[in-house]
Amino acid sequence: MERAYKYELLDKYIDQELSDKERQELDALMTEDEEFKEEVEVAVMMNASFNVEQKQRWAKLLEAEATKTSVQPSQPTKTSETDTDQKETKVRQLQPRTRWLRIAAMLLPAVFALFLYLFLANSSQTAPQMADHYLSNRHQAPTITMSQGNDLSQNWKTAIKAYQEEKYESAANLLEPLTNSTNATAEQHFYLGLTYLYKEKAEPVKAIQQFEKSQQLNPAQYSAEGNWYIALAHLKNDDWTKAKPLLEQIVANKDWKWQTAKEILEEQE
Amino acid sequence: MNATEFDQIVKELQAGNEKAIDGIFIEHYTYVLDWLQKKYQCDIADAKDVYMDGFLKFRRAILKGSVKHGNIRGYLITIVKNIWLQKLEKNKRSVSLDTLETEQADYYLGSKSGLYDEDFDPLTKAETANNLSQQKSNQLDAFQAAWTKLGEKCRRLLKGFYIDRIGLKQLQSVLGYGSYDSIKSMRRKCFNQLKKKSVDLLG
Repeated sequence: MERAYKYELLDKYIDQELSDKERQELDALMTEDEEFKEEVEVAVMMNASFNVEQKQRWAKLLEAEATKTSVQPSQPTKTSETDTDQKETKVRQLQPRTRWLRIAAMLLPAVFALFLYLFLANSSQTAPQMADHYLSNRHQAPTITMSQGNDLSQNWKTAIKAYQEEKYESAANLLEPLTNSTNATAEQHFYLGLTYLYKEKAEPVKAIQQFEKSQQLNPAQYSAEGNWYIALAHLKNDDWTKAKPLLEQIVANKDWKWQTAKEILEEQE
Repeated sequence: MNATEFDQIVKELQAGNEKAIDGIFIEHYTYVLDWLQKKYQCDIADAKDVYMDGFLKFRRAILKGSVKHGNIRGYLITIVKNIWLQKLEKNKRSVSLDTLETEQADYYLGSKSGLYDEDFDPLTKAETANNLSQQKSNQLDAFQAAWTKLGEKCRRLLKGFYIDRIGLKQLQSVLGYGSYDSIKSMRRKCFNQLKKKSVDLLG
């Protein structure tokens, strides 16, 4: 039953339960042993794939339970008192089993709506709905290295903070003057594009303009990511004719998010 | 559910039937979500996430034999509570720019190790696959494709070892290997196959 200590550390790493001392131990092991380092990376991927699969399965399970509880047992027709009693008894006997499910369904309609929104992949989803689904996982906020820290403008730092706190309206207001300057960076244009998409009243057309600028300024960094978000912006704008060729290009090149792009293309067909 | 039924569920889960615990998942879902919301005022989306993450840990606890019939709900509550508190702690640490700068400073000054690079939160990032760098994202895609190409025997072994976290000695009897050396050698062989297929698919 026992696993070697290094695999216990691996388990805790995946569960994010390492103490500081254990973190150092694992780090040292991974530095000394290239094979073990590879095992760690593969184990992370294995667990991530498995977890996603399980969660999707459970979400569908909950959805199926919700559907079951919406089907009411039919009323028995009266043929004789005895028959009726027996049938009514059967209905009453069913109720304890289904009652808690009905209560759960009444209490949690928003949860099931969320499941349908997040997990139900079918062609009846509109393009904007599909875009919202894929945009719901936010792109990581920009990082600031120590060497940059003192050189960065206050507005850019404040904009990053607003982005981290998901205050996209504020972030956009801070980023707009930055991107209008001649010194604007590709990163600033990229994040402005993201804030336009994440805002409550998204502005996909403006988002696309910003992504394209980031790609012009730094194609190496933003070509692939930009294409993905431009495709989502077209979907958000309900323009499948523009989103489709871009998604096909992402799949053909096996660029960033190519498997997700493939799923979108398959859903739409 | 009585003790015998629970033992049967455990056996089925050990044999690879993931659906064996679906009933338990459904049975405790509403109660645990209500508990989380009342106790910590977390919103329903967070409560759902925490329940799912918690149930994954609960599943492993069942495989380890840590869960007994009769303490299922209590066990689940303990797990989700710890997950929620961990999340709160993590959110507190990552919310302010000043904190971010402090973390970065610690990293560059060397007081924290390589595990604090941008992919330290490996499982969450890999699960969402959204915040990974392009290279990592492609690696994940290649890995998932390679996994489906692996033989069933290898998948069961690797899943048992790396996902279910069962030791090789126990896996030896569960999967019917003749000796400890043979399962150890097979694990290495299957791992290398998976690695090779992933690399081939990555191109």
